[in-house]
This record gives sequence, structure tokens and C-alpha cells, in this order.
Amino acid sequence: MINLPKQFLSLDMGNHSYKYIEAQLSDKLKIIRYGYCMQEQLFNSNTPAKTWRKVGSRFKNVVISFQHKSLITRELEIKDCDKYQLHNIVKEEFQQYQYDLKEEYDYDFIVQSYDEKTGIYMIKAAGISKKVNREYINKTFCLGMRPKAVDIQVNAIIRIIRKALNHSEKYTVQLPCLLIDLGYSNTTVAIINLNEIIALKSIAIGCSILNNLSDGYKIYLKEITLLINQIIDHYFYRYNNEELQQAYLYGGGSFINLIITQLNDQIPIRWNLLNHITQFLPDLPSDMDLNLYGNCLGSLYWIEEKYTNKKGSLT
Amino acid sequence: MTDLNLLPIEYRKQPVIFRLLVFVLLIMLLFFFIIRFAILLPIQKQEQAYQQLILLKESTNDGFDFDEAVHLEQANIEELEHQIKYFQETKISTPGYWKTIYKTILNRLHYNTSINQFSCENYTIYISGTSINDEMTANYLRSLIESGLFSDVRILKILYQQDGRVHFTIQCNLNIYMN
Repeated sequence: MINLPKQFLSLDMGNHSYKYIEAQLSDKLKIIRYGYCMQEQLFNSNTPAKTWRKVGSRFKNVVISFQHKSLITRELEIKDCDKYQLHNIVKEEFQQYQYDLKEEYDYDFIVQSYDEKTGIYMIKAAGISKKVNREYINKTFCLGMRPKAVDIQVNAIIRIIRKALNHSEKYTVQLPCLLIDLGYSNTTVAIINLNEIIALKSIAIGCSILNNLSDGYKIYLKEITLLINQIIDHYFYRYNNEELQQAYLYGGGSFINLIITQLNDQIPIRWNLLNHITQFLPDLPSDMDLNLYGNCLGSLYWIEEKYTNKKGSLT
Repeated sequence: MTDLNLLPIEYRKQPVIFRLLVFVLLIMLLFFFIIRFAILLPIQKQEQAYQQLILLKESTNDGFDFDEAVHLEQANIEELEHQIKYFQETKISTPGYWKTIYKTILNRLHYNTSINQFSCENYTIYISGTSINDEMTANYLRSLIESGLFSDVRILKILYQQDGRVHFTIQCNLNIYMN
């Protein structure tokens, strides 16, 4: 049986720039090209699709990801129900969130485990503002692409860590660990282990604040520190067992050297930039900076996993 | 467990089975329309038309076959023609008819012209007579033709006598359809 090569694009739709990686899938993932372009440049032009083809990529099939404060993850325990009733129960749960948060959600869920003795399903669900999600999806259509999936960026980084662990024996990570994505307009902090997001929170403050306010740096650092402490407190309160020992910092804000130094002073864990993992990953272009392209690369690993498992179908 | 896809269902490509099902349904629908409109409907219409034809034949011929009716009509026409002919022949035999003929033959006679003999065989008439000269005979012949009651009017025989008189025999046919 011949495996026809499939071409995919992974797109990190930032508020400042769109980062993308073009890849081809046959037996393994092969990165063809990568780069970025300014969001303004695309949508200020009369023909965004044409501009995108010129300055971005010509690939059609795309997996997109973006940061937004409306992203929520939930762990649900559902018992005494048929497998086919799960969808309705999760739907009801999200309807409740919608009512509480006064926001319509696009959501998805997976069954993490099922205990036959107790009949309990452990469900991992995630949702994002329907309005925001559709805006980003429509933007990809506007750029002449076909969205095949909307990935959660923290999951993309989990896949990178998993890939590094599987590929290199030299790579070690203290799990669970902290991920901090310092975006242009949003900041996301998450606690993860190898298979799941344990806790996650996003705020609508990003490194753009440094350009806009005179005391922007102070506010920025304060907000980030507050967010990290909140999520660590939540983690200890909820799980109360393991200590966090490692954190990965990535995104545009991670290029500000002072931030990692000051975070190191305030929160006593091992701080690393995500591009520290680059050396443990296979077949990466030598000049690719994971701090910028981590989200894109992680989404491509998702496609690779799917492609390997189902020989090319991504539904 | 990092497979959460936030792309809404309506944007996702349908699975192969679903697409196959839709394809099969479309093909079935197409076949249904082909069978319905290209085969069944024409057959049905043909049958209806045949039934209508039968009903129409029954109502128009009142149980008889059309060809039979035509034959009957033709027989009637022939019968009528025979009757017309019979009546015409019957008319020829009537005294009124012959009175007109005689009157014409006599009235057309010129001065010094007389008829000695008159005979009729079927529709052919022979008129024998005497006139003072052949010019008078020719005038008489012409006047018979002009009467319109006779056709093929000609002098069958002409004899010149010692005293200059002419003995003639004229043959002519009756125009039986003339009134």
C-alpha cells in the first residue's frame, strides 16, 4: 500500500503575528518551510488570501491554534450512564457554564478513563468562546485555507515534551510542570503532566502592554506573577500532593531576559525557555526557535500522531 | 489525552462512512428517477393511451370494426349509385323524355326538309329524311348538334337524286344525362 504524502499547515494565530509551519506527512513528519507574517499586513490588504499566499503559505489544510482568555478546561466525573449518553451530559454541563459565564461555547471532550467497578467515566473537556472561535475559523477561510482542527496550544506543548521524552533518553522533565505562554495580547499559564492539562488560566494581558504603558513592565510582571501564583495555589489546594519543580516559558514575551530572571527570584522553581527542548527533538530545522514556533510544532505532532494511527484521516 | 479538537462539528469533514452513505443515497435517488420517468411512466402512459383507444373505438363504432363500417358505407354508396342509375334509365323510358327528343328533332327541321324514318337502338338514333339540297342537310345536322341533346352527330349516308333532292341518314347518340 502506497502512502500518499499529505501536506499540512500549522498556524499559530497570534494577535501580533501569524506563525506557521508547512509540513509533509508520509512515513514521518517533514518540515518543509516555516515563518511568520504580521496580522495587520494580511487584513489591511484588500485581498487577504492573495497576500497570505504571497507572504505566508499556499497550503490549504490547516490546523489552527490561538490564545484566548475564554479557554476553559474541565474534568468531569460521570457515572451511571450509557456511553452514548455522555455527549448529552457534557452538553448539559457546558450549557450550565454558558448560563453562569454568559458566554456561548464551542467545546470538545474525550473519555480519559472508565472504571468498570464504579461505572465512572473520567471526562476531559475543553471549551472556548463560540464567537471568538468562529472569528478565528472565519479568518482562516478568509485567507483561503480549510481548517481541519482547532488545537489547544497548551496541548501542543505537551506533545512537544512527550515527543522529546520519546525521542531522546537524555531529556528529562519534572512533571507536573508549569507552562507560561507570554503572548502579545494574552498570557496563558497551565500546569500539565504528560497526558493532560491539570489546570489552566488565561488573561487578556500580554507583552504589548510594554509598548503601551510607561510602567507597563511593572504591571506586566505583577499580573504574570499573580496569575502563576493563582494557578499554583489552585493546584496545591486541589491536588495537595506533588510540588511543582519546573517551568517552561515561551511566546513573544519570553524574549525579555529580565522576566525569567525576576520570575526566578519570586517563584523558586527551575525556569527554562522552551527552546531548551529543541536539541531533543528529531528533524527540526537548526534555526527554528521553539519559543516562537512551539505551538505550531506541537499541532503538527498532533497531525503526525493522527496520521500514524489512522493513516491520514484527521476528523 | 491531548486530542481535544475545538473545531465545531459543522466545519469538520464528514467521515467516510457518512459520505459513502450520502453517495449511495444519491445514486439510489438517481436510479429511482431514471426508472420512474424513463421506464415506468412511459409504459403507464402507453397503457393508458391503449385503453383510451379501445374505449374510443368502442364508442365510435358501436361494437363494429372500423374497416367493416367503411365497407358497409361503400356498399351503401354503391347501392345508392345503382338506384340513381336505375332512376335515370327509368326516366329515359318515360314518354315525357321522348316527347322532348321528338320535338327537338322535328322543330329543328328546315324548310323543304322532311323526315322519312326514325329509329333508335340503345342510345343511338338514326334519322332518315329528304331535303332540297345538301346545304339544308348540313344546316339540319348543325341544329341537332346545337340542341345539346345529342352527341357524335354525323351523316351516316347521303344519296343525291335526279331532281337534285338529297336523301340523308344521320346517326347520333343520346346525351342521356342531359335534361
